[in-house]
Amino acid sequence: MTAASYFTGSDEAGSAATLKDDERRERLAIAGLSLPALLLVAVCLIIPVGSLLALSFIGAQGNLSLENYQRLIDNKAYLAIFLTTFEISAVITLICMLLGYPLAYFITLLPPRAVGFAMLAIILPFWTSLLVRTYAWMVLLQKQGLVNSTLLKLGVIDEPIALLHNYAGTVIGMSHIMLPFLVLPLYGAMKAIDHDLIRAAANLGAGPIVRFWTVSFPLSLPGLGAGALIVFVLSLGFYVTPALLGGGKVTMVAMRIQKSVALYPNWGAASALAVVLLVVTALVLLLGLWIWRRNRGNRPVMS
Amino acid sequence: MTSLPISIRSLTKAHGALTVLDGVDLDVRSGEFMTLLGPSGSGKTTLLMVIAGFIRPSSGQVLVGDKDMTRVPPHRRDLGMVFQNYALFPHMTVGENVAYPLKRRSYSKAEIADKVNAALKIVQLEALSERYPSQLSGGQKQRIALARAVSFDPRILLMDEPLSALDKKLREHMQIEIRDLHDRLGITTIYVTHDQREALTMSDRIAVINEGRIAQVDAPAALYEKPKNLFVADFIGDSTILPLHREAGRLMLNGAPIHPGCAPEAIGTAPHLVIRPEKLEVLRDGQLPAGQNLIEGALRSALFQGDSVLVQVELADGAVLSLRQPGRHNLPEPGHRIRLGLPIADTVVLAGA
Repeated sequence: MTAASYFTGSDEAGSAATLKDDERRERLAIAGLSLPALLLVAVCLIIPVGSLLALSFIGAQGNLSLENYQRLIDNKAYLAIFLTTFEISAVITLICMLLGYPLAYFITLLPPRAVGFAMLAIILPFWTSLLVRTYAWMVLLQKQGLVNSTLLKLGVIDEPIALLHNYAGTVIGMSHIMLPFLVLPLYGAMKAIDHDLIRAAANLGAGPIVRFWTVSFPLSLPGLGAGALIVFVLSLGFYVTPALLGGGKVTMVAMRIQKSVALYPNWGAASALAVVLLVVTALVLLLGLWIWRRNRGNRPVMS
Repeated sequence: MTSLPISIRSLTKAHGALTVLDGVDLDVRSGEFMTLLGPSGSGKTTLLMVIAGFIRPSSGQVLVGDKDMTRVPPHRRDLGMVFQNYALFPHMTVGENVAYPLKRRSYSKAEIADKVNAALKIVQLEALSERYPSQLSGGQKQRIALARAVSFDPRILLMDEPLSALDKKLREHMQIEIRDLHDRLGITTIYVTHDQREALTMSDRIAVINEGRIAQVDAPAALYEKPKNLFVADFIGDSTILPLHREAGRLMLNGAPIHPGCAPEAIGTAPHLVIRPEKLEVLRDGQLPAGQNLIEGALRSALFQGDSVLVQVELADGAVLSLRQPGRHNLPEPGHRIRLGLPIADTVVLAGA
């Protein structure tokens, strides 16, 4: 029996040509199975982004023009909006790293049953609408809100402090919403660290603090980097929370895009802003990928 | 290098109702290669982890030299350890891995470089100091783990099944290499394995552990030739174990007398005969040399196994015993009667459980 007849069960000639036919048929089947997914990507991603790109090159008179991009360069207000967006995203990433690292590390130290509970507590907010979470922060942060009234009662402050409709409110709300995106990949990376490595470090003479800085921390860095990148990129395009908690005092790119569409019906200007934001975000992602690849090249982690 | 003795005194470790170690006493001599041998779940790895300081015992003491180490944290114990999966730091080069314990101690940069080189030289891998662990083969990782464990001149070396991830050929090669390293450094070594052949090959003495207790501590040959209980007899080597009967103060196997190699009174209740397959000799009809016990049965099969022939003999009561001999000489046809001689000196009789 030949190889082909062995698999098909027939005793017909299993020549190289029939084997090649089998392979071609198999490939066609795989291509057919992936077709729905490809169509979905085309309809939901490529067409909208393509039309956005096209819109950004159409001027006020419906002609082909670069005026939408020219305006972004000429008007210094746009540069300020981009800088604000980057600054807020960077601040939120930093806050999430500072809050998320100890949190993720703490979860790795919990007994298995408590870990499930902690993970649930982190994932639970995802099941609540973003809008609801943002309104919850408005309730907490307002002048007569829980935060201010508690601080007043404790005598920490003499009069309510402004936590809402400003920079502080935006940062507090966004940090809360972004925190799980940092904690989840970071916890995954920490969990994957072989416990024997920590034991080996102890055996070789490293106390708890040295063990953390020489073994646990460097090995958790890929997870921290991945989480920080996700938080930063998501923050760049964030709209709802800064719009509601910023009270018009904080303008991020996504809010300016919404304004261009809703207030001035200028689709060209909005599209140009969106395209620039998309390109910048893509560049940030590529930079992250490049750093990751370079580190992996230096320090291969596969075993 | 000064090596130190280790003394383990009535060590017990219990998790709730489960007792992992049950009053273990063990003395390891200075410079000795001691192997903890036992089936999985016997507590041998737990014992090693208690010595290393990773597991706190429920009671008992671990002494190194004359110092009580029981409450000393692992990073102050100054023991070298080789882990089962090597535990090399993946984000450090080979050189950085070996330098890690040295950096934790007050050595100058030049001293660290010298000691790293010396340690890598011991395992003959000086050339790999810039590589990362993921770029090494299993055998190389094993050697680097060994170099790291001895680079800071520890007083004691602990090894937790260090060869279990290697293939058979490399494993046998590394057994000799590790034993050789031990002899050169003269370092007190405690080695954990479940592989009896590995234990017999490498050790000065072996502590056989079963269900959290030490079943026997002895030199490999003594352990093999003179097991003190049925667990050791069964666990070490391919033994056939047959129950014996007592008749008028004599030990009987299927109605034939068996003369034990020790005084029969010392055996106690439920005597069992332990037969090593290479101790049996096929006898010709009518022949019975002095000083041998005679066992009769029928040949069931003779299997060629390369270096030897494995012969299975069925006794009158249906029990099957194995013997091993270099060739097929003297063997009758399958199903025919076969007479076997077992030297009285090698006739081990032990009390049953």
